[in-house]
Amino acid sequence: MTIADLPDAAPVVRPGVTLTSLSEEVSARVLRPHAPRWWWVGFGISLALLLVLVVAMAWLFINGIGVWGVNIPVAWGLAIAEYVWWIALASGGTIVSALFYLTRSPWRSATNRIAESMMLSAAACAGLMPIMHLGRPGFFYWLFPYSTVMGVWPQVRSPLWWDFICLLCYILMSIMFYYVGLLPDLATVRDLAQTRRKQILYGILALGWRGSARHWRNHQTVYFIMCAIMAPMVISVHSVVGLDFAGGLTPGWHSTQFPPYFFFGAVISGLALVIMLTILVRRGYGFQDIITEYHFNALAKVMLVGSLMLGYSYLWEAWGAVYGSSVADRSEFFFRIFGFYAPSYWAKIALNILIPQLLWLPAVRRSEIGLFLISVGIIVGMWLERFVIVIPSLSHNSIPSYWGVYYPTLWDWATLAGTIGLFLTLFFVFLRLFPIVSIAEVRELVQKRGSR
Amino acid sequence: MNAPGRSYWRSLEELAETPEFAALVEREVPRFRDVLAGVDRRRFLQLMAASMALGGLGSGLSACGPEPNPRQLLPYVEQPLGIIPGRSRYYATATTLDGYATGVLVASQMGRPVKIEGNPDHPASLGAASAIMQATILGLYDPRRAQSIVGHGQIDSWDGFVTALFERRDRLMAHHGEGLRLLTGTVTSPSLTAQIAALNKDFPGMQWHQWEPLHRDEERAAAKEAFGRPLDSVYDIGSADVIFAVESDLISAVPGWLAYARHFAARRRPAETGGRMSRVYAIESTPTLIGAKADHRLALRPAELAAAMRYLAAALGAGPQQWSQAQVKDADWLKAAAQDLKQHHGRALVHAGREQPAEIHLLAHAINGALGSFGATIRLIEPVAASPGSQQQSLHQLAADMMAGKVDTLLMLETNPLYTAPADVDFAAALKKVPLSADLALYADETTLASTWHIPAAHEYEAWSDARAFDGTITIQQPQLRRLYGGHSAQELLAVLLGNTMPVDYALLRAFWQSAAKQQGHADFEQFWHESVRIGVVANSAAAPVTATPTADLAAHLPAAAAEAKGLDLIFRPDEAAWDGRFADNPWLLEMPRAFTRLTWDNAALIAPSTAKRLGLATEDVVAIAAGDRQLRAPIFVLPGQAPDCVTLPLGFGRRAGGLGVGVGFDAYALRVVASPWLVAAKSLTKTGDTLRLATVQQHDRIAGRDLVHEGTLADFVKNPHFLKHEGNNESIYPAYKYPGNAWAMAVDLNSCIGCQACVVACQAENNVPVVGKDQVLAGREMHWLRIDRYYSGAADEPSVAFEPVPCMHCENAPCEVVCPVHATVHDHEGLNLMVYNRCVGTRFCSNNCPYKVRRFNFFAYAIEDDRPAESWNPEVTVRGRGVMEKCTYCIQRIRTTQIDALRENRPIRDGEIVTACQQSCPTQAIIFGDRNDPKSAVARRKASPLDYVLLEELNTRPRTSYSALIRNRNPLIKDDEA
Amino acid sequence: MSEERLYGMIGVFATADAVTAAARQLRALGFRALEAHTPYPVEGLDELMRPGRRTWMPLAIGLGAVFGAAWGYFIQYWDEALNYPINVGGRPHNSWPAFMVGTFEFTVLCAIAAGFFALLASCRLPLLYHPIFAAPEFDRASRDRFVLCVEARDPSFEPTHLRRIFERHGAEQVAEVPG
Repeated sequence: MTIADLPDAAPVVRPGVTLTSLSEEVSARVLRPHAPRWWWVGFGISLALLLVLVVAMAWLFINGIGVWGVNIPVAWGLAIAEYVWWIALASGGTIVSALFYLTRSPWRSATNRIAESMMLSAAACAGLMPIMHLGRPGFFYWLFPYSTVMGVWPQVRSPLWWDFICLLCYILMSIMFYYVGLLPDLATVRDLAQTRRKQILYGILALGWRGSARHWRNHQTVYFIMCAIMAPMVISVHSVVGLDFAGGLTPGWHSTQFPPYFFFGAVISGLALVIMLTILVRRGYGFQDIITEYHFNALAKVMLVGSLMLGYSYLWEAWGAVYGSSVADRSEFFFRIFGFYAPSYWAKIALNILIPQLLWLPAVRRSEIGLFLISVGIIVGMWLERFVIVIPSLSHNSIPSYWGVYYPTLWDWATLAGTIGLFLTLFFVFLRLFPIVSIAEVRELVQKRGSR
Repeated sequence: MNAPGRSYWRSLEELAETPEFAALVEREVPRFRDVLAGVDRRRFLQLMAASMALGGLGSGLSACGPEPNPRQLLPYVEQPLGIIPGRSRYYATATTLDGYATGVLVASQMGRPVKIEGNPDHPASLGAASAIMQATILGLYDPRRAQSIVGHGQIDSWDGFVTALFERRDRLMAHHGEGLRLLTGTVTSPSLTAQIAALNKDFPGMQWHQWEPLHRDEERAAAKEAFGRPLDSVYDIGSADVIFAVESDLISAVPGWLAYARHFAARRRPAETGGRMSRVYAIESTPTLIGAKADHRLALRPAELAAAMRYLAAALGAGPQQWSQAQVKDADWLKAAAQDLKQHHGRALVHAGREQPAEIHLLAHAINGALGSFGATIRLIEPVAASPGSQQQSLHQLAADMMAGKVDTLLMLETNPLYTAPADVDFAAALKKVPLSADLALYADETTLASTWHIPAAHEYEAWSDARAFDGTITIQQPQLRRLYGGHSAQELLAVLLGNTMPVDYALLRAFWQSAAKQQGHADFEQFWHESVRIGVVANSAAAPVTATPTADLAAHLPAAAAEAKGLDLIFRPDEAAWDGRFADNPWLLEMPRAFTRLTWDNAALIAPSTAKRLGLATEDVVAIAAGDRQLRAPIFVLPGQAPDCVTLPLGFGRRAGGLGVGVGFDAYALRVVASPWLVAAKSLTKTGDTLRLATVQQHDRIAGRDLVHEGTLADFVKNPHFLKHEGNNESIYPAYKYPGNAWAMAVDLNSCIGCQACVVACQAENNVPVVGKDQVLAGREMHWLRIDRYYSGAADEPSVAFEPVPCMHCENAPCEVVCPVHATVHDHEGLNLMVYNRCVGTRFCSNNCPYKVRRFNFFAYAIEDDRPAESWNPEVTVRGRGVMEKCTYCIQRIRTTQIDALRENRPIRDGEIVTACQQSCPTQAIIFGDRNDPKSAVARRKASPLDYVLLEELNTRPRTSYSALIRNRNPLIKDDEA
Repeated sequence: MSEERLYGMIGVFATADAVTAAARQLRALGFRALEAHTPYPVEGLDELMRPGRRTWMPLAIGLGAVFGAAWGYFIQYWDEALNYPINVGGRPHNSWPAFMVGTFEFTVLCAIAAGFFALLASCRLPLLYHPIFAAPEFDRASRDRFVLCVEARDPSFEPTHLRRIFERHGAEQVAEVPG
């Protein structure tokens, strides 16, 4: 398809962008000797937050899980909510990159690298959470599928094990997926590199990519199939996270709708973060020409769809609880919406469902600031959703004598801040080291436009 | 003392002076380092004995504690007879509460006492052990116990004290003991009584005072008036078809309540007694256990109780007729009850609690007389306690004399008047006026610090003594190990005053019993002694019943009922755990959830919901309560079932000195006065605006529509025994597992459970469950493996109460196991839901997925932070580390021990051979454990009952623990609230 | 320079169409050792230079998936049913429904891994030095130029002839690549 067929007038690549300018522009961001001030500021803040994480983890490992607010009945707290939150953000990245490659959406090309970098950074945070939350974190490796100690294997019926394997595979696959996509761009950077060190570095990373017809053909095939696999994979990732809860007997968790419900959550939160980062990168790197209103418009539409799907899930959840036969489910649901944690429930409704409806307005879809605010709202909203799923259900369980509430402690919050730090740190590193826009793919767009 | 003994000591001393020994003490018992300074020979011997006992050097020695010659050290190279490492030996003895004994068996591992169990041969225990009894073992090891003799503020020695007392003794001798006073608690010990008698002979001028803060003065006074002399009543609940309880502590606190509870429960299991069960009426101001079990209950404030009793007496012809004309609340209710009682003439029983005023006890006697209960459901015996009198008066008198300077020597034996005395008795000031006051106490408590001499007391499990039970049965108490922290027994102290410079408890007791046995006509003393000590009961020493009937128209000359009460009543009650304050230092008891409030670590002013609403108060509000010219601040706890306008103040908290309990809760003694020890009118109760967080373990009181408590009436049950059964649909896509061998299972009977918490503490003791402290309980991290849920139904002010013990259900389709990613919790071939601590990584998913919430997690290293001495843990059970999950194991260690025995003897395991800790301690046999596959087993039979059900059946977890539905035997004539 | 030390000859073009046209003619003239280096995939170029030659990537990935599925299920079956069979929550040792997730994850992981390594293998990567890198202007092939190369080993390799063809198709530059 060409731009002519696109519904919106805004061009996917601004006129004036040529193959030459494109390659040099994007590579320059990586090759220039000094990063811009805003990068250093951002990176500094990230490191500071990362330090918070280090301290929080040290304190946790020295004193034990008791430094968090978790208790019986609420044995899972912010750590798990945040785990789900991070993995959802990561999956969102994969969705943008893989799913929309399959649909051949032209706007994807300029944003998929951002999405993928975000995917890897978020996955790292997600991977950290379950390990931190263990009572004996040193033994997390007992989940690996081999006879760890005294010939004992993991218990593979456990949704937690599914989840562990899922996350493991997901991270490995994401790295390969990311690298395959990056390969041609590394070659470009290699060929533009001036200093010896950079030439060697990128020369090695590019593995000797020559962009020959055969390279391209195999590359195309593999990359396409990878996307075709990553798409269902990412759906499975978040469905399995959903099973962590749906697999349990706890009222409010034990529900067949969780897998899709969680997936919708991943879509919307992932897109929100992609939009936020895209806006920032576009501003920071001055990519107005290759990342245009067209992209925001498209992303915003998808996000709107995600928000509607999520809204449907919320309705479904309410309906199931109220109409269903389980006393426990019903009373847990009413506790959610009227009980101790009710504010978080209504806040999530507002942030994830009501406010995003503004995206029906084309003006909002095109305004960076509007989009940015809505996205921030959604990311907070999705954090609240995870909180609402994890905590109230445990707090208002099947046995009334053991109902109890959970208050996050300072260390719970420190961990949240810390993982954000880890995410940003990684993302800033990606920004600095690798082309943040897929040059090769945008070239095709440029070419198509040229050939028109 | 004999010469060889002496020289032997000397040699020991020489050993003791060597640096090696110092090093040993240093290494083995650092606790003793600080008291090593300035100790004399005898103290050193105790230290050494204890240190050897503790240090493993002399396990043999401590193991032979209870044997005739405890001074004989046994080198371990020749293993002492009968010590099998890893196997418990049981030694019978008794533990006393307010002077009354209950028989126990102390399980001893390698010479270390580790667990208290009831003595089945003892009438007051019948094999059961209350929470308080269970906890005494921890008290024994409490490192906070006083450890050195203090004279005039200086660390001194026993010899120093003996010298001081001897100087005084001569002076006293001179003027016949004028100025010599002895203050004890209630005394039932024959040997101690004899000693005091002897003292009276040597010192005619001596006066003996008794003081128990939880005295039975009112009861005694009434008995005195009714029978001419203060007779004790022993109840035969088993034969009572109708019980009328007036705020009765019959199955919660009276001496012998464990036995009473056993017989009470036996009449409350319709499924086992062919649909017949007793009927219980209760009227009370503050909830009691028997009130919770009652079929009909009224919450009345004290004045109304009196009126109701008068009405009842009149209705039963035990009081002036005009009383029945008086306006009383719930007249119909009382009429129906009266009718019911009348119909069961000779098979009825009225009982009033210790805290009720004499007039109510009198009315109770009158009514019992009218109902022909005496000789039928009530057995009268000569008082068990020595010289029963009004303890209030006694203490008041003593204080007055001290003030007047009439007292120059005061010996106080294990009593703490400075803390427990009524507020209008200024004992502190009085004590200052006594030149020589010696206090024998376990802890450096309030009284100790104000006395001139402090003698650390030997714990009951550390010394030879004797005591009588509620029915007069005598137990000879034998020590279970060497005195950990030195200490002396009451008998030793008095012996000094009797001129014995080197008293030894063992010798003293033997001497006493040699003569006593002769009088009782036991030819062979050794055999008598051996049998009595071994079994823990002196054969047929129970008091013979005396025939007495209350004097005619007892009630007649009682004044008419007091005028309608106004304002707020403040009523004082012992705390279930801290008791009168003596257990305020015991972590197990402090952290034990109270039956109704489910409160730990604090006491609170209990107040009825309606009253709270009227005064605008909520739980955790701190109020200032004034009575007379005194005042205290207390947190409020809103308690359903509490009578309106009554504020219950549990005693025993707010200790100012002692051990762990210092500063915990508020001191209710501050408002107590001699005139009316149990009830004062509140001058004011005002909200301070402050709040105090109270650590309850149960925030929600109702079952909220869950399938948790099945409840019905006897009438319906008789019509159709299966009336509570509903067929659950329990298909599974997976085939069910087969358990061909033994299939361990548990049955809990809600009719029997009286909520006494004995099982909770027993489980804690058996399974090394750590104490976590108030903060952690507030954080929701209490560790009890077994809990007793308390659910209300019906009106908030007159709720119906259900107690539901919840251990692990050992589900066959265990939800916890499926979600564990590391095989840390799995099933064994007998259906036990196992928890493999060292495999657990602490995901806590199992707890989330447990619908019954019986799993506990070590959020911190609770067991390591626990300061109880290492030797006090039960070596049979792993002590769990940080970050692992734990839960009820059905006492798997006991199962395995029995299995090994059976295997060795090549025989099947007998039914009832395996007894879980909770089952063992339960006074009412509410918990039964055994092999479900054996149709003849007790557990199988109970599970076959039509009342049997499982919790949350709809989840299809197939629990091994099942429950018997709660049945109330309602009086058809009473159409009331609940139901 | 003599022909033995020659790797081949390149023409540098400005557009994809030009390079495609040149390649088509060279192919028609019977050249076989052709290779084009382009900044982005030019549709049909490889097909045009090596007609009928199918890529084996899908096969590799398919095999990877099959292996992953088998391995994934077996490892769980071995764990729960063969190596350490124990009663977990009353579920059968081989509770296959619960094994599906693990199986799926192993399947996709192995598929992707297979694809990744198959790609490297088929492209002969990593190969950090290749004679064509020495060609002038070659670095622009990863940016904005299209380089067509005829290797010297081609039987009908003849520099002057080739130069003429390249230039006829508007090559910006024609050069020999040393081997």
